[in-house]
Amino acid sequence: MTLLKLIGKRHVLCVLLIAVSFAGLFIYAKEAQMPAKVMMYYGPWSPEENRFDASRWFSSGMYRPRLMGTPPEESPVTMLRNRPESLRHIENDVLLTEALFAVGRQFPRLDTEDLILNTPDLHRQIRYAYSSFAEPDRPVDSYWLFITFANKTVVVTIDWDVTEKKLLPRSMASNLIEKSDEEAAYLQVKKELDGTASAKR
Amino acid sequence: MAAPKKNQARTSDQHTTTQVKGTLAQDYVTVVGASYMSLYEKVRGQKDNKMRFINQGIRQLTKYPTGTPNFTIQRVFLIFKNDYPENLLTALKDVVENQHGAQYREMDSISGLVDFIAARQRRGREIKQLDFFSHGVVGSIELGYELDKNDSYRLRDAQANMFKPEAFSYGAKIHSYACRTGLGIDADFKVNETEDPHYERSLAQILANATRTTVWAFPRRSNYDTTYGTAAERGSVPGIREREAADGRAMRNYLSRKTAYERKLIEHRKTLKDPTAQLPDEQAPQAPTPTVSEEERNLLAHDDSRALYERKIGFPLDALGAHRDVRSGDTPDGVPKHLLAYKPL
Repeated sequence: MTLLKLIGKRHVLCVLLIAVSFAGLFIYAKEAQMPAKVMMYYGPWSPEENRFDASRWFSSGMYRPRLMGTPPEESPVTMLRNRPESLRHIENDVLLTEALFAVGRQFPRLDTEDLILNTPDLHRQIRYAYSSFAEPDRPVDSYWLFITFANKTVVVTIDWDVTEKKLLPRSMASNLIEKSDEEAAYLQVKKELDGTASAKR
Repeated sequence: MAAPKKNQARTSDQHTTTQVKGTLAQDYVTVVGASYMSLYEKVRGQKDNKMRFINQGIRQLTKYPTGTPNFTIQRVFLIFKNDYPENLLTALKDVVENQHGAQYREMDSISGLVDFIAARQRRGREIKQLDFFSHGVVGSIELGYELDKNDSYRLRDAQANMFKPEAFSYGAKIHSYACRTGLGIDADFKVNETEDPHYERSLAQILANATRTTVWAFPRRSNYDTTYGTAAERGSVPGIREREAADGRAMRNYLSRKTAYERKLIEHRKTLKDPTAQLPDEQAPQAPTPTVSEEERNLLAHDDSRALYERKIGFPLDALGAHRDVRSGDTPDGVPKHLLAYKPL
């Protein structure tokens, strides 16, 4: 009480405020030194904020952020794998079944008979697209499989469970969108296939 | 409103007059406003609110009659593009044109919409239905709310009065799913019993008078909360997905057997040199019957589409459109909680 009386209540309050400010600054400085957490969404699409700390998948060098939009920003949903698997070990007919399943759902009128009877090497028509998390710490790599029918090219997005080492049963077919990333990937595939075909002639 | 056309000629007592009704080509038009993201949404990377107007606009396209190859009926999707990134607009254009057979056009000022409507008559077309999905305040549909181009994207009385009745067909309808288009006083939370909502001053009434068309609008705020389904519907997705996974396994098994069967059959026919030969002792496999209902499959299809586009382009674009309609919000209280009809006065 005597000390309080001596320096006054106001002065004590000031000292306390200064102390709290210094503590705050110290914590802030410590946090700035630490690597920033990478909080990623996981699971099916939801309006809720389902995120987890995915930092280790980036710090290990397995994945890097995927920049999207203008100006480019790191996507909180998808990332890019630095050395994606080739999927060469998956049987061609397993890929065919996935393609038939996805195409049948989205484009039921497309005639798939020629694809069944004259199935090309589908591995050559695949390109890695992006990765995401099915659950916390369960990354999934997505690939585009391009299938050309009589006058239409379809993109089948197939998902590879990196942990379980298996295809996820959620392949989806969609149109090849002009001026998109997938069109750029498709043109690369087409160029390679055309190059091989002309070399054989 | 386009009056029925008449064939007029000089007549005499011996000749009767013939009236021929002319029906112009008709447009069903969805107008989608730009949508801003709050700082909170930006920080958290949440894009569902930003996509509400677009996904509702796509749902509206599915309700219109299918466009005809000779364009006598045409679906049109107009979007005010400010703050929608290029990759989203590219994907949206593909969905609108290739999955819903609609004309797609980007707008960058309200005069673009005024011109579009004025051009209907010049092109021998008329609007059968016009629907707005956007932000709004009392007296205006804010097609660029809180964005840089807010002022040049605003639809208010001045623009409404430029919409000519000739651009609209007989019995045409206009719907506004923007907040408070149907209210004539600036009430935020409540319209007291003693207060007059002055519906006659509302933008809805001004639009109705200008276009000689019935306008449907909310006197309250609009609510887009069930765009992605009700909470119960969203909650039911994981359970349905489990059952659907079993259906998927059965279907993949069938497709695998069907592939083997068809290849065997073609070889058999080649060997016999008979294009109609059948395999002895072997029947074509039968497709399994799904356990998931059509409605449940539809719910998953919406969910899958949003997930696919979220990963592909960073936005939950629903190629099938919103799952449910826009509803009336709660405020301001004291006025009806549903769309009201505003007939031309």
